[in-house]
Amino acid sequence: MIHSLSMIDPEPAPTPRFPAGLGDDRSGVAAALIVRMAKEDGSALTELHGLWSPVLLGIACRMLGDRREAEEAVQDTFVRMWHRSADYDPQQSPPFVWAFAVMRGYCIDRLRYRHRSKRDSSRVVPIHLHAPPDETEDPRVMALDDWRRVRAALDVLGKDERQCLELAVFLEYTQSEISAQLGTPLGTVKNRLRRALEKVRNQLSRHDF
Amino acid sequence: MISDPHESAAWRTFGMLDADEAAAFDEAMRHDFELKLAYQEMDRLATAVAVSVTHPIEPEAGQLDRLHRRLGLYPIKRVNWLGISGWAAAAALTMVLLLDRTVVRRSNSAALETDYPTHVIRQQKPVRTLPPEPVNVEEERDHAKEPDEIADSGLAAIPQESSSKEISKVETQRLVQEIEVLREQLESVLVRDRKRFESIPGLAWPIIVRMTPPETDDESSSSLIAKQDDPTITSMLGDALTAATQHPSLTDPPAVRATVPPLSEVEPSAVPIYDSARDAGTLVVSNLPATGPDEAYNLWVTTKMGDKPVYVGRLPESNARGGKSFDFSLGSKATVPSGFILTKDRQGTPALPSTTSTVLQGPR
Repeated sequence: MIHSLSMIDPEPAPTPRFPAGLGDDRSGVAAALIVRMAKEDGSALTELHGLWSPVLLGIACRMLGDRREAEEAVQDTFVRMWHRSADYDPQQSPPFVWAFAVMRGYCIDRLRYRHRSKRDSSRVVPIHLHAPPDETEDPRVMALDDWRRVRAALDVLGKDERQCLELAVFLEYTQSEISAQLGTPLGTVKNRLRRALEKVRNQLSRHDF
Repeated sequence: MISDPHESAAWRTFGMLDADEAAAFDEAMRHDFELKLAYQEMDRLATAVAVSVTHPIEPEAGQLDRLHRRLGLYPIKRVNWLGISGWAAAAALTMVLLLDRTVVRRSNSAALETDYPTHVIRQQKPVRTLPPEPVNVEEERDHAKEPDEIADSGLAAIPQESSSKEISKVETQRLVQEIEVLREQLESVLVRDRKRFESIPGLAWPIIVRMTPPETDDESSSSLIAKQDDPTITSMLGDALTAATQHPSLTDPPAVRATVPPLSEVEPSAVPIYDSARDAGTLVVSNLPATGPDEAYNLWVTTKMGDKPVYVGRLPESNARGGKSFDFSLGSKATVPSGFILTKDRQGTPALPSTTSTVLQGPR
């Protein structure tokens, strides 16, 4: 039944090998903190909040376009992580990917609740899409070589492809909305997004992680 | 119709599926390992992309405490050993001083209560008065330390009454000295406060400044205020309280009410009220002309210390022509403003106040 979804383009695409280990917590610090959280160790939550809250808040601000709501999203993410930490399985996803998924679920709910009517992140939060790497690279969030490889992968994208991918990653618009936003036909948007994903995955697959 | 599972997973990850589609995807993922794997990979990719292109933003202060409260966690307070050690040292010193004094008193009383041999007491002369000069504390301590020597020396014959007087004299002298020291400290505090609270023309405490347009003739406004015969602060609040004072009041003399001109209609004005003890202020503005679409009012303060005005902030946009108030703070309780300036600038980073940009300023 998945295949009947209207948004899925029927054109088959080559499936590149996905790089294993992308986003892995190689130091094991975050995973250890989550294990401590599962044992109701409040200091672990404090440490994890210090490690991740700035990045999560930056992402939430961009997803929701509202600073106050983004702060709430980060709060709720940590509350959910606290309660779900006992069920966390590092085999399923790396720690920060898990945190990102938890927050994304919250943000999707919020966006559906308000019918995507108020989002205009550029107006509310200063967004630095291309901040200098030394300002944002944090090995506690993602390994440094992952940072560099993802950036290199994004660099191979054309401007339109990158724009489509970022709009999608940050839940800013549906495909139709992206189409309207960019003044581009829906089919073109789908193709651009598909092509962007393929390029990024191909680029990342060239590296051993 | 066969589709790339990564693509399906991507739409799910990007929140592009509606609720029904997402539920269908999740159901399919339970039975399709490849789809689940694709979803996990897409999760990693989306996370990596999001992290790579996002600038971190520091959460507002208190968010962690709020989180702890929500979860019923109370963080362990960090012990300030430095502060504690300072207090501990002070407490130890106090104890040493107290014990020292206690020992002196005990020794004194021990010396006084020494059971002298009867024959010595019998040999005492009836009364032996001490010389009038004040007794040194050190001497007193020496006496207290060596009661046997006292008994053996001629001083052993000092009667208890004289010793009590002597002790009270020493205590009195010590108290007088302490009072002198405290008086000096109080005087220095008074001098400091006098400097701090010294009156500045146009200022009151808490700082209340009347801001007027630069070209306004201050004398005319002063005379205007004087005519109103209101209390000083009320006069300074001027326009901010004009509305209130214009209401008929039984306490206002009819003549005054009749002569109060509609000042607020004549010119814009503002009254900042600032309490440096709390670093909290309120700016009450009246009749500020509406700003253009790309203009804004900015508040500045001047201090005695700095030669350049310090930027406080931008007034929120308001279309109200009447009175309106805005709260502000200077970010430091140490900053004592000597004046305020309101400028009208273009949006963005405002330049330092100039004669052209200054709308209101005070005191004059």
